[in-house]
Amino acid sequence: MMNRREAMKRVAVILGGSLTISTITVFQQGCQRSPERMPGVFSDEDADLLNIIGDIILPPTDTPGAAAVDTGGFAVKMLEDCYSEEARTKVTTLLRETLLDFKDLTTDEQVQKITEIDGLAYSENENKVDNGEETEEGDKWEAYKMIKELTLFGFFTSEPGMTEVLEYVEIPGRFEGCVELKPGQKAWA
Amino acid sequence: MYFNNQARQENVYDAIVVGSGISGGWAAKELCEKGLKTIVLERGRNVEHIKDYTTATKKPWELEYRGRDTMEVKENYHIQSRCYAFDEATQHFWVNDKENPYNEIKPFNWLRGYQVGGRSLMWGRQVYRWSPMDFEANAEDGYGVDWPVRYDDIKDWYTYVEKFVGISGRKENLPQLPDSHFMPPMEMTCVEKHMADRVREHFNGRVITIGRVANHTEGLDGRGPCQFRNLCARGCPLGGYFSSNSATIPAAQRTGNLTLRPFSIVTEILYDKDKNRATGVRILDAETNESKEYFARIIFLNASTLGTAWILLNSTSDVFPNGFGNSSEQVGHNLMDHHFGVGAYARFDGFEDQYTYGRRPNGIYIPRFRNISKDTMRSDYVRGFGYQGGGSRGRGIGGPAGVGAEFKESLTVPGQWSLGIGSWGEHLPYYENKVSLNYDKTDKWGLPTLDIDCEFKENEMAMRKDMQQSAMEMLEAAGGKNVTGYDDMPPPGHCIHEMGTARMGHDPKTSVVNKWNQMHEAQNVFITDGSFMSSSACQNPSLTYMAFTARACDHALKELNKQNL
Repeated sequence: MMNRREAMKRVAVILGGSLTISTITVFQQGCQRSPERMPGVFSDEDADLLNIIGDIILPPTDTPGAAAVDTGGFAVKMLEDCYSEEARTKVTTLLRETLLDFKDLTTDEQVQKITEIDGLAYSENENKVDNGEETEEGDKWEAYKMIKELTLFGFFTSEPGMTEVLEYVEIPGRFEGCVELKPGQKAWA
Repeated sequence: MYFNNQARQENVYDAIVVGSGISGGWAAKELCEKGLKTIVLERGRNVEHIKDYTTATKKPWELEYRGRDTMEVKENYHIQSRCYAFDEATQHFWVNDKENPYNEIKPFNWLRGYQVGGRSLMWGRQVYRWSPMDFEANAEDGYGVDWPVRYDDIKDWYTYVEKFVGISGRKENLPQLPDSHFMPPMEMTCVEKHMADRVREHFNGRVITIGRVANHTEGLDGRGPCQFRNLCARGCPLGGYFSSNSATIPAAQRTGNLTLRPFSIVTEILYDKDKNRATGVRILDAETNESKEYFARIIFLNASTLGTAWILLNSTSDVFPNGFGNSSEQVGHNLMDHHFGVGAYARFDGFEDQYTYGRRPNGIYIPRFRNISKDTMRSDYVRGFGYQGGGSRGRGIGGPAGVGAEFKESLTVPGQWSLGIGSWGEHLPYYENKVSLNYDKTDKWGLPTLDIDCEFKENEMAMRKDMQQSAMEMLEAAGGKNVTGYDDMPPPGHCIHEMGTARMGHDPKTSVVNKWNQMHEAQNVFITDGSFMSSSACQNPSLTYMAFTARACDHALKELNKQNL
């Protein structure tokens, strides 16, 4: 797993001159000193928490789970580089407010909590929320959906996800449009 | 044979080709193979086949963002990143929008690849012949000018280029979509076959065929066959599809007659008013900012539709105060694209014991069925459209909700079948759809930028209604569930089929090139990229550019040999 400092360095290199000194300082403060105080800025703890959530969504079974491929670190990287600050802030708010004491819960309680959030985030009522009636709740569900989407995306595009959980053929060599599905056949990656 | 008898000087060639994309590559190949010392001037960097396909063999997990675009990329490529073929693995083949500005008088997505091979690297590879009806359309309904060419004039040239390109497809014997010289077709999926059968029954023989695609299902001169990875737009190290880089440029290089000069922005065509001919071109070296001149007996403009229009408009002189060969005032006008991004999709139940193998870089095609005969005439619009689409089996069962082992398991099994079709429609040539030069807004080389002023009008809008409705009707007839229509209404340019800015016609007063793609006012300048197109039909146009390029090269050599050029 890539540590935060490495990740930040890489981001700085990618962004080149567009990162100002003050931005970098803010990032570093966020990363090293008081991560929970900086909305939209992620820490190692956030990545760890995302891995715990990841393993609840996609637990290890006879194949690896989400944490084994570090979907938490991947989600943080994607959020940092591919998402708006607004989106990032929604995610940190969920992690640090709604899930403030999450790590203190028992495993069963954690599963129960995520199951509950998942149910609410995808429930029928949620459409109303999208229409702006309950913005705060809506932000929460949106943040959870982002986390879940990145967890699934990161997992099913990882090497174990593609080669062990799904079936990946790097060079198929031919195309067959209509083949019989074998019993127990996994989906193509 | 014609040979350049002048003493060999630096910068003097038999032929100059401006641009190395799909039509420039063909001009280079044909002219070099005919023995002409040819220089290809390409404004972008070199991209060598195989060597420069830097992402071609990367596995999904080897891409830092697994293919997605970062915020920074979205900012620097804010237009290009809208393209379906743009992603983390192909980004290096697209222009940086900040460095390559243009001005949208009306919304227009100008999608570009400035490099050797141009957009032939990332193209969609769908290739369809035009039919007799398409060349007659302008004369028939009066939009645009009459094509001075008919299907019979170009038929054999289609065959000629198809044999080299390598196209897979199935014969259908349709008058509105003549068959090409085909390699074996790719297979259709069960749901596609099912849909094809139902549509044929319900719609009086309406055909659904496999896409005709420049992916090779057999090896061809050491290229391919396609290995069904479906990563074409990264460049194919196996040569599984046709591009300038994999096919025409290597063929030109094998003759020993090719000089390829990347980083060469052609800024002007040079003209000798006493001899009534172009003498060469001036370039700006994109790296050194140095200006240079190159001379030749003949010049082929293959800089892309808007690139060629830019060069012509920027080549002003006493003789041509409003642009090179532009006494007709048609240069830059009649800009067309195809209008698309409209169609429907549906779920298909059943076929649970069926699946597919491999990743097919192709889909299905529904040839035009409107306005092709007396009983298919529409009163609400002229011309027509075709559909491209595909039916495949998804991954995972159940909805997005859920967590845990069962949820995980549900995402690892084959899911439901679905099939979608989207339409490509003809865009009529309108004089007022145009590009012009903006000298106030210059690029980083101090060159004028293009103002692009183009839109779809009533005919296209009326057609779109039918495009969506007919798609839904066919899916419903085929038993599709949750049939959903859509119309995303992307702006012109988004289809990357821009054409028409130097149209072909009989009359020098109303057109820019003659039936041999020679400029009316400078017969040693040939324009064979999309700008010569007098109408757009509804088929993907690259094959037609290639056929006309080969024909024009043949004509050029005959004329050189007769000392007419």
